[in-house]
Amino acid sequence: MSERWAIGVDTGGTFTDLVAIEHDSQRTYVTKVPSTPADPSLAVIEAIQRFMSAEKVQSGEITRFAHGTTVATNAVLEEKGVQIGLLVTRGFRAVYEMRAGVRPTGAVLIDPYYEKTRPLVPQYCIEEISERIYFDGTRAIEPDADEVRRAVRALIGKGARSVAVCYLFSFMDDAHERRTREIIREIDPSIRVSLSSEILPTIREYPRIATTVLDAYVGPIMEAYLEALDRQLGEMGVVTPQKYVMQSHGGLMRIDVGKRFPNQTLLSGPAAGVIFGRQLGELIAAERIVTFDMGGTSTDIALLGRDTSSETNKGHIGGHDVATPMLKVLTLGAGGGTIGWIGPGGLLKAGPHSAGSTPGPACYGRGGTEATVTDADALMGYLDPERLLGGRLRGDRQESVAALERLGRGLGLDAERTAIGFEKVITTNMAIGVRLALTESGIDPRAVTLVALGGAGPVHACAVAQFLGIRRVLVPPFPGNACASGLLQTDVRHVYVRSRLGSVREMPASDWRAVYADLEQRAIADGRAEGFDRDAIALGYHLDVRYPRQGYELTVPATGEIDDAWRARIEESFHSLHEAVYGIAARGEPVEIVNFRIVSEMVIPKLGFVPLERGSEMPAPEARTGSRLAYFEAAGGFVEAPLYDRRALRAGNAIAGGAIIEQEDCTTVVEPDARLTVDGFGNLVIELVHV
Amino acid sequence: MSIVEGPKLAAGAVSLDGITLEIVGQRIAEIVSTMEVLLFHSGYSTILRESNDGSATVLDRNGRVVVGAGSPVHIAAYYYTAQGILSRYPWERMNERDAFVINDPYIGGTHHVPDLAVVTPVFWEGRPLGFCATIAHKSDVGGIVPGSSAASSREIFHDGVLFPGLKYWTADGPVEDAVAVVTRNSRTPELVAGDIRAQIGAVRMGEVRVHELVRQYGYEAIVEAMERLQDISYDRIGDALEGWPDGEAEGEAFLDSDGVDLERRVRFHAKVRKAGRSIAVDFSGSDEQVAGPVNLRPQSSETASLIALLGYLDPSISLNGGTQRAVTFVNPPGRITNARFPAPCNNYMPSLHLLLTATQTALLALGSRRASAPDGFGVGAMTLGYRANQGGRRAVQYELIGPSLGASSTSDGAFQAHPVAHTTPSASIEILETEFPMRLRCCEAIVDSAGPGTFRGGLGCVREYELLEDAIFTLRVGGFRSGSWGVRGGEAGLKGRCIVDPGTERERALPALYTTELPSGTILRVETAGGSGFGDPKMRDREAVLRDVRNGYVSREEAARVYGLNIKEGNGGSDAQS
Repeated sequence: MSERWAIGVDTGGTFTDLVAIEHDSQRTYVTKVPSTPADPSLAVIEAIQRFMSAEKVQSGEITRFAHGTTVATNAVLEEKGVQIGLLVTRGFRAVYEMRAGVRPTGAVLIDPYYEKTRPLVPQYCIEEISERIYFDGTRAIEPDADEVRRAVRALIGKGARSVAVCYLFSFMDDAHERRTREIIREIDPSIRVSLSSEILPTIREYPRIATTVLDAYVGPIMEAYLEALDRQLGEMGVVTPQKYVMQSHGGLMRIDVGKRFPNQTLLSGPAAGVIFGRQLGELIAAERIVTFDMGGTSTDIALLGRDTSSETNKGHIGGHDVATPMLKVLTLGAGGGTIGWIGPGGLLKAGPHSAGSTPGPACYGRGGTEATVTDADALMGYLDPERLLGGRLRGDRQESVAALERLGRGLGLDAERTAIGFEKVITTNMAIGVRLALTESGIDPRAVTLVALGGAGPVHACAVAQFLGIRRVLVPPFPGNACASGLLQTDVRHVYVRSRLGSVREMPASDWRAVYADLEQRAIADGRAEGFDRDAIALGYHLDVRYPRQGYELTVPATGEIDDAWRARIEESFHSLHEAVYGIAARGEPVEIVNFRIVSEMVIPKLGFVPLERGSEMPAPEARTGSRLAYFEAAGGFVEAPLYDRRALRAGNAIAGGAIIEQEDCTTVVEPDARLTVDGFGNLVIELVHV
Repeated sequence: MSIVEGPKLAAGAVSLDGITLEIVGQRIAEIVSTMEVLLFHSGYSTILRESNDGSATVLDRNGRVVVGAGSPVHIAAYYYTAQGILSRYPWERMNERDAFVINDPYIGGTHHVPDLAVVTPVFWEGRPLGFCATIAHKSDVGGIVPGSSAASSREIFHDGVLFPGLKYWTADGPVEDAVAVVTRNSRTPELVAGDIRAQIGAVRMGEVRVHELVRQYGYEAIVEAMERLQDISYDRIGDALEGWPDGEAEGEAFLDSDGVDLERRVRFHAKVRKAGRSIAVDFSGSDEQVAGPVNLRPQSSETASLIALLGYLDPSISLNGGTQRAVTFVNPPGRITNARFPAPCNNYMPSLHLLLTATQTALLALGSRRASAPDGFGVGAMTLGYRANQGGRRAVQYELIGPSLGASSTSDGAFQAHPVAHTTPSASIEILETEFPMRLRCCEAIVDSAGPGTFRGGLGCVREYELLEDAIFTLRVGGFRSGSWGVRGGEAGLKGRCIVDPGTERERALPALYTTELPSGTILRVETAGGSGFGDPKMRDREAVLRDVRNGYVSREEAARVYGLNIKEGNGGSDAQS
């Protein structure tokens, strides 16, 4: 069946966002409903129903459903996973609790009250199995079936519903782990089993065990959620097989595959927004994009570009470590709800505490009394306190003034000057975050485009860009719905990794092919299960390589026939990548393979960049909706800033700086010394002039 | 350049408001972070790039730290390093873009010779403004063993070559003679040269960023901000001290030996006097300096006490020159806490930890409300040197050894973390076995090793290595014989041990500072000490005791004997009796 409507539904902390696009007409519908944390599927279904009735769409006309979910994430953050058991190689129970490589920062480093994150599985629920595989794959001690049975029964007796299995060197040979799973299934097929050799078959036992434990911890909950959601969608008549879930690395997986890999969703929250930024970057042919996604409590910053490594395997969630591939996202504790306070020495501090959505900023009038970034925005004239949360909330500017007055007493300043100062502090904090991310990748701020996303991103993006010398800011048509939109621009994608240490120059080609053949087989089987023909499954071959004894690897492409010239090419591409990332290379050194990696990509049509009708350079008169006093330092203080209604803007419109653009869920602030144009897809392109 | 300008303040008439000061403080912190990012990314050695054994900071024109570096251990080191440079090169003899290298613990301020500092003065229109500096651990700077940390060192010349503040780089580029001397004296010249280049790159960028700040806010404003950021720490310490009773108290801790006379314990002693908002720490009661490499220089002694003090007062107080200024030290030369030239000091960390513990003990006696029991003793490292590793090459397996932490007044001690700066070593068993000819037989928490208490210490940990090749084994840890102790009714954690071939007739225990040859087939058992307990074990939450028994952390016998909880055979659940 051909595509009709594709919908992306993203569950957020406050709202569940939906973006729907009709395939042929590119007609777009956007909505948001309050999230329902107790059962997030309720809000998902409600959003879909709202869309169907608004657009008079039959459920059968929904031919694609892509979903960003935080069910697994929240289960970890709220410690609401299931009771689990863990099986490890005899003698190695301490590996998990020790948490090798954990490195706290700041005050915690010297705090005598330092505690490590509480393990998700206490030692009492860790059973040891007398088995051993050596580093070269030798099966030194085979597991004894009776011992495994005793151990599994003991774990079940202690209440385990889900079992993680992580043996030493199982990435070299998974036979012992697979045999263990067979035995568990014989005993009780309802027990969910997470094998480290399937979830993360890579060297370094602690990250592998931590990830496998997380998978077991959230697995049954994620399974139940996705099954219930799938069932409810089915009952509504949404029966398309194209139902997908977003992963932390920015690819989709089919909803039934998602049940098998819940750990892949743990850090998927910001991923769709990043993908959206990447697609936008391609649309406008920008070399380097920084997504600046500022919400109520935090700002997610991601750096995207051809020669920057945008993936990492060092993820953290609620103090736990997760090492499956994910997009590299820096999260700062700065959002619209971030609270201002007077710190030691009379310094004006911003955050990290946030008023969240309840009680929310003072101007919400829901009992919040502390001054937040949103309150300062209201006082500065950037936001209209009468129309908050997309017009759903009529706030009270006086509450903002009162809160900032209280804050200002500690500084000896009035509300207005306090707000000005608070804006500067928050801009500084966010700009420093962006600049450190750029420094780490050796990128000049003048070469990047800042993409403003989230409810608060477009309010602050220009100020941050000015601080850093960034020359271009881009605000897409629905910045507050970037994640939901991003879901419709994401391909189905899986990453398969397996450790096999050896030298690039010397590893026998047969070993090499065998590892890739195994990964290929899994990639193709998964792709077929997701409904794709072999032709539609594109496989990318990569190697994670390092200089001998380094503690980290870099990923280089490795497609081609294995011969000496090819081996030399791989070595050289590692040397030059190392040089690009770290500024140096050791060309005489041998290069060592750590991981083989296959990325499977199954392209699905991208939706969402809808051309906008052209207008003249001058916006239509109905776009000018009035003006209000807004503070611009570059203009010397408060000036009467013209207001524009974004819905009435057309491609080709140009607006001088010192203006404010309003739309339902978001406000864009254009600083003086900047010029805004509307591009062919309705993006606001703000060019900044730096003196 | 940016358009958003800060207020332009008239020279001489500056008084920064809480907003500008916050912003300037954040910007200086960013400069420190930027230097560290550059250091870790462009460093040449694995020590820098992976272990991140380095740090950076910005100092004022008097050589006092403005914003603390990422590593709290380097705080006092930077101050003394800058004083060392200033003593040889007063401001009028320095030029813009000079960069100095200094690793001399006697003239400069690093803890031991492998730590090498690079310091660059920052001028503004010819006027002295401050310094940008980095410290990074070097793979080798000479001395009698590779790595420049010999257990057998008897004078600092055995540790390694001393650079007392060499002009290494100028505006015209490298000073070739200095580069030649530094690289010629290392067994790993490329690594050392590469790491120093990374340090110079970092301080150069620091200088650029400091200049940006001055351009935006003015010279006087930045000078004032540098002072006031230190004043904040100084005032916060004073404010916090006011809540403590006045008085005097002392604490001590012992090292097994100096590594030369194995029978002679070494005493670290700290006497603390507190009156009103001021506090003094007196190390005069410590033993005289010793022959082995366990001596401390003042930068190390002061660091120990400052970390102990801030940990108890308020660890969120920024460690900077103001923190240092708030504490008066009495530290006569010739003591182990202030060794005279040329005493060796490469193995300073165990001594620093013991002095930290001695200071904590004194602060507790003085009446600190925030309180903890001592960590297990025995921080340090071990090396196994093989003639042939898995690839047939000479190889050295280096592992950090850390005990577990002591209990605090509200929580159990952490399992396996560095007691001075709470990081966990990252060595992976699978990586070690892949690279070196040995196998791990276990990595387990040791039952009944945690010091009992209302809150117990972290458990000790045992690792057993089976050697598959002959090896030279060096152990450099604080001690096995003098364990730590419980606090306020809590009890001591189990001491650490290092046993060769346990359970055989060849079984023998090794001293804490020792080198020996071990043949292939040897079983090496390394046990780290448990942290000590806080408060009466009988007062421990019964559920917590049961949980510990269930988890195998505490035996039934110990539960009965120490915690007074009798658990009948069975599942250890509801059938317990107090």
